[in-house]
Amino acid sequence: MMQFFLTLLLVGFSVSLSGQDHIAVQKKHYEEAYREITEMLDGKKPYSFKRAVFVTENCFLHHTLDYENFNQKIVSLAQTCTDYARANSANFVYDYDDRETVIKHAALFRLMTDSIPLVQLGGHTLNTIPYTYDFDDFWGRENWSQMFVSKLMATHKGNCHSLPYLYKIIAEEMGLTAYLALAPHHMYIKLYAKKTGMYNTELTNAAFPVDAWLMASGYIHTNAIRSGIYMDTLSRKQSLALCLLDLAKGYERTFGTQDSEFPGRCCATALKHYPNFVNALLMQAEQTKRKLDNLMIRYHAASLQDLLAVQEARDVFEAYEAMIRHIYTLGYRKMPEKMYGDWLLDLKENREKYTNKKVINNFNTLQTR
Amino acid sequence: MSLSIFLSGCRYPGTLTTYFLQSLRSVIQAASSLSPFSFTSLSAAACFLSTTLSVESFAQLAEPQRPAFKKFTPVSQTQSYTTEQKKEEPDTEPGHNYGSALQPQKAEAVMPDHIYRTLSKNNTTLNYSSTIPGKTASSVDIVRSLVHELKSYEPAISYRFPAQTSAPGHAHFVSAYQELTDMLEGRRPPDLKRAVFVTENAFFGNRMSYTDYQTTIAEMTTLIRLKMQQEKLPLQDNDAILYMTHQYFTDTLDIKLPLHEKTATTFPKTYDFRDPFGHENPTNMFVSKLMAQNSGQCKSLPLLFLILVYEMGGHAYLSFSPSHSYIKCRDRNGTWYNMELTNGALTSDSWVVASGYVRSEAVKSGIFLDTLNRKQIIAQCLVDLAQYYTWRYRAYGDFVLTCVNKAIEHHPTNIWAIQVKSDYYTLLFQYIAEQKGFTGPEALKSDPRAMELFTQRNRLYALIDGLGYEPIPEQAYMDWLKMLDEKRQQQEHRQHYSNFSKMIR
Repeated sequence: MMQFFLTLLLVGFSVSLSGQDHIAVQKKHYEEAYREITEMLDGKKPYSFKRAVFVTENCFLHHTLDYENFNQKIVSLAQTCTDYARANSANFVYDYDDRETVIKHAALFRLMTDSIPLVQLGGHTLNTIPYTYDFDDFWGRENWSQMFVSKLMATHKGNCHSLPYLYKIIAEEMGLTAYLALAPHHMYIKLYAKKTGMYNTELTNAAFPVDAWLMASGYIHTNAIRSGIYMDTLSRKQSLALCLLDLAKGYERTFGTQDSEFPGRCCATALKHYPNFVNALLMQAEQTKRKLDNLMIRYHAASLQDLLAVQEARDVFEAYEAMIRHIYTLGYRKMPEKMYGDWLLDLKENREKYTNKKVINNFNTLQTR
Repeated sequence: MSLSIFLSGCRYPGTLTTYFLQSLRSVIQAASSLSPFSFTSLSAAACFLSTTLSVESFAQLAEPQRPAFKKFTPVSQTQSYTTEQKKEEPDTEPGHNYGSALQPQKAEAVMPDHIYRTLSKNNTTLNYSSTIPGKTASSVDIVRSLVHELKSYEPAISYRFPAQTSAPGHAHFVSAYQELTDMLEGRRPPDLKRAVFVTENAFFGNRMSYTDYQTTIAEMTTLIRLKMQQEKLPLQDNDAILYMTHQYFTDTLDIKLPLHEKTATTFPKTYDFRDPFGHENPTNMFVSKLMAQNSGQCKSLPLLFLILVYEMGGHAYLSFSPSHSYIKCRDRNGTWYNMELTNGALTSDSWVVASGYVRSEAVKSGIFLDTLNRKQIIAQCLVDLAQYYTWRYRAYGDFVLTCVNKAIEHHPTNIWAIQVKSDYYTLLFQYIAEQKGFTGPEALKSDPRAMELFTQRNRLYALIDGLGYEPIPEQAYMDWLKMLDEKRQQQEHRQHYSNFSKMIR
């Protein structure tokens, strides 16, 4: 009821609202989204990654999205995959007893990266459109909504943030398990099949790369793997923690970086459920550094030495140092942005070298009859 | 138009009759664009009747095979040498052929693949969730508890291999085991030099001379120390010891001998390409072979390096990657270096994983790329001892299990020990299956003791998979080592090396 009222309020009066009210309303939306995800984390509400992603995106987009509509699309996509898997099950060679699961994953992979024929009309076949990588603004610099699943669903172009999210959402709609996994500036899907063990699904390149591709990028320290900050499968709660961080980032993009109370709270909650969540740790460190910058201005300090004469600043600086040290020990190393692009291309160019052949040989046998 | 109907007919084989109405020309036209296997229409089949007939006579070649259950290949701690691949007797005195009943190929004839398929493929013990280390506890602790749990099932397994205690040379293995265990349990100071010696000596039936061995090691350390003195390096400094030992392994050194006119020249220790996996002769992987011939492989080179470094009072660590071992060491600034002694390069972790067979789970669980301390290396000697035992007698016995269990106790994440253990249960199961003459899964299920054995075998397989282990094919391994000769790797080596040598001077 409350939500309905708010939506009505927004739609009806958004034009007449003054700027101040507008901000207040949107902040309220963020608070609501935060509350909903936290309730899922605390077990007060049933877990739904789909819903968590939706509310995160919706409050950045001024509540212009419709959940029913979004849900309908996901359900129909999931149904398409399930039907396709059932219809073409005969020629799929995989024969372990988790066949049902694997064939559904193969169908979903096909939906994401290739096309699935839907209807045949007078010699023409209507196909689904594959979801491809969007090379424009893949960091979401100009427009934060570049990272969104809703944008991906509307334009069929996404990046390493929205593509794995969509995969996970559809997979969970189909009743499957799909794990997200992190890498420097990157996210991908990790799945398990009895025959092949754990394997990676890379949607940006439509490939199944082996772990060596990620590790050989040179920016994943072995400590990072041991501490679980990268290349580890994320649990349900950890995946929700990712949404919380997205929420914090969206908030910063909407209201600027000076208002650090809400993002700070998001980070803290995310870290409570995923202590080695490196992106949240980094955001926290950045916030502390910003605090230090502000103190520098407030005390008119010319150098760090001057600033450290103030007790308050010394405490903040020590906290900052401790954070950076912690992040370093966990094995995080900054990856230059150019390296990221090169590294993604590396998979395209050396496909043969990095492909998990056991997986591809099985998946390729799912063909339309 | 006719073409399109033909194609759509292909997709729905139910409407075969319509094709007879098509003109032959259009069928042939369409046929030429398709492979003969996709034909479903009768007329097309008639066109290619002669072809299919000739194919049929070679049906066993053309027919796609059902994928067979892949048998587990036992892998040794350094190379993929296995008991099956053994070609000839070791060059020691011939022992009795105790293992005649244990030849794996014989057991295979009794246990056809389909039994394995039905039993192990969908076995509940291969459920991964219980064997992939969880997130809450540290993964090494998880591995330790899993390994401990596996050991608790052992008393339930009452089947054993026939006793071999009377085999010639068996006593040497037992005394070697005793000595290594004493070192591990603190009744004797841990001494890698001695540990490697007793392990290899047991294989040779106690025919090596410890005095000679010791003298050779002492000679080597003296030469390295002399060179350090001549370069004015501090003799007790760990970085200097590592630097000079690395030089000794990879470079030609001219060393002035005190009270001598002559200078001694040492030559680099090279990689032996002839038989690095020890297929022809397992002793090609021995440290004593390296000392005698100045050429070794990825097992003997790091071991000798560590022996020399420990003798001179330095410290370094051993580290594993698939089918490989290398040195990890830390300089006084805390920077880690990987020493690849097979060609002397200093490498990065990303090169090590670039072989493509290191999974992230393997790094997380600590079976690869982790450091082994002195005691853990001695525990590894126990695994070697077990392996040498199987090569020496071409059979598995209780001794093998005792050795690897002791090794696992002191180093729970030793993947090679876990593998030897799984080999043990695999072969024991095959042996029992042959003795009992099992013909199908039902026969096996009616024998709870054999079933328990089989389950234990599967538990170990599940553990190995859960730890993220993946075997590397020999060819991939060699290709990977060759990558070190590439320009980029050499550049990386030069950079690491200049950092490293700056520390010394």
